[in-house]
Amino acid sequence: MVDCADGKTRLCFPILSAWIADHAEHAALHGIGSKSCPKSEVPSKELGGNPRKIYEARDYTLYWEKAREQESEEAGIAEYFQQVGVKIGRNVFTVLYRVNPADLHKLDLLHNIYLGLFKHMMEWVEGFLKKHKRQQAFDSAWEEIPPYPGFSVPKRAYRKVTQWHGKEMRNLGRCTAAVLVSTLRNPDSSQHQDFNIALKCVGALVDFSLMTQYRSHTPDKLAYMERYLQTFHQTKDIFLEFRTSKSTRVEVNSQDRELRRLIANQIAQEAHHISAAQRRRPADQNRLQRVNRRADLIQRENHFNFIKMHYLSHFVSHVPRFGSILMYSTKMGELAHKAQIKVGYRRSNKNNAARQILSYYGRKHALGMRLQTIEALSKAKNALVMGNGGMDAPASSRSASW
Amino acid sequence: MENIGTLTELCRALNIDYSDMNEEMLCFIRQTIAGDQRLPSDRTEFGSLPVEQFSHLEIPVSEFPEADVFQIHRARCSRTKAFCNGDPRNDCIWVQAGGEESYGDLRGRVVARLLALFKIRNVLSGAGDVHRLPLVRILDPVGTGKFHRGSGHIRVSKRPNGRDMRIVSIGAVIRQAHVITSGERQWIMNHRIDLWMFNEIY
Repeated sequence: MVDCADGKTRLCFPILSAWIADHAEHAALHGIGSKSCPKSEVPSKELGGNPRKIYEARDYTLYWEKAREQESEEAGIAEYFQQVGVKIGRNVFTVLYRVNPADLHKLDLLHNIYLGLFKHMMEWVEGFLKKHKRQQAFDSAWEEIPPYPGFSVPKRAYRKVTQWHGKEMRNLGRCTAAVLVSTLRNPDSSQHQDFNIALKCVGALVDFSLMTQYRSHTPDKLAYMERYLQTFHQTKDIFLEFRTSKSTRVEVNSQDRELRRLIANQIAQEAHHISAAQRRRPADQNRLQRVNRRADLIQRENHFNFIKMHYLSHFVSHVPRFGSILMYSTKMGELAHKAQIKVGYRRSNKNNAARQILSYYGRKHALGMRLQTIEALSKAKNALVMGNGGMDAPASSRSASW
Repeated sequence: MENIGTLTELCRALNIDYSDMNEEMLCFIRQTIAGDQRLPSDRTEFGSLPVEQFSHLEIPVSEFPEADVFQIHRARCSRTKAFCNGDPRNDCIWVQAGGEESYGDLRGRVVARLLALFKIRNVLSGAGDVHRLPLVRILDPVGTGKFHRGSGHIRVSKRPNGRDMRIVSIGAVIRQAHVITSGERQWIMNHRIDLWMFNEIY
């Protein structure tokens, strides 16, 4: 039974329409792998691919049916699940009435853009600046950012900041492109093209993120969003060399060691027959060969296939179906952690804290409600008294004038 | 802010030539609509009017996307004095300087740095009207105000020669501007600083 705005009580059956959470929570709830999209059956190797490519939407009812078949020992279903990135056939949403689990996932600006892609982008930019020896210039420009209403000015050089919060990342997005332009000024002829591509890439991502913050979108705006996304994907390869994962680095190093050992053995065998001058030239060639092979391997292994990169492709289609992206942000939920959990924990004796946190917040919330009620009642009472006074006022004024 | 008596004293405090100030005042007065509230166009007359300096300008700006919700931009101008125990702060502002067709992608707007904020009281008129005026240095857009194809930004720069100071009407000040230093005489106009700016200039 739900109390409605018109004062009547109705029997209602709420339908779950959105689940606002980070990707890791969605992966657990939907029963999919951490590199899978809850909306579409995109292979993990194509997560950073063309945003215009359309993948089949997830059908969780089908997965459930397949899972039931698996119970009767049907072969090949486990393989199918692995192929589509599903771990559990029947997730918690499958049996809910009129709920499509694929639609429950909503795009989140905080985790996907600010703490996700912006963080990645800044790592690439750092690598790029290091390569071109512009880190100091970036730090100087960063420290000189002037104040602006609603924008907190960075107090330290960029490299001295160790931890970034969501709000800081959002601020970073608002000024990073301009700071980068200032940093990458006066390039030499060999750097000119790379700098332009890097600026275009960063600018496109920032523009895209700004457009996702709009409260309403016209078809023109959606077309702009699509164009920015396309530009970002077309230019992002400039940062590919800075996308080396730890595993790739370990593999490259081990292969390099192996190659070096082989070359050393070969040289040791041939050392008796040739002079020192003759030995030097092949050594240079070998070094060059090793460097090239290392670069090739890194280029081949590096990729942009991570889930937050793929989520970008859903932003444009999200708006016509579910409205503004901004309203589904986890920002408010994360902000509530402070009042609902952190303050309560600080007030507790840290022993069996969960119960104390709950009772503290419950008490505080109830007191807040009580205060608001008293305030509203006192206002109403005052209004009543003033009303009576208004009735008496002419009589008193008459008496004063007399 | 120190108490300034007349325009001559203001020029001395700002370290600018009084004749330049005279020119700018005349230029401004000529642009205003003739009427009771107009400042006198005679140099000796407006030179004798009482002048007072102030340190910040509150600009009501509409909050994107609502046109009827406003927030206040406080543009500061501390001249050479320290602001909050730090460096002097003289903010940049957007000034509507022409029609939509001028200044390329800026659509008639120019970036200007505040040099001084002062009010001048027209004691010669019966009503004793007060005019609040910003003295600004206009930063010219590089390349006629078009977006630079490579960087995707508009640069603004100091004028190498000629008059760059201007007294503008307070109504022509649109909002605060955000510019990033890029070399000695150039700045990059950051149009991504807020959604309004991003929506207006692209």
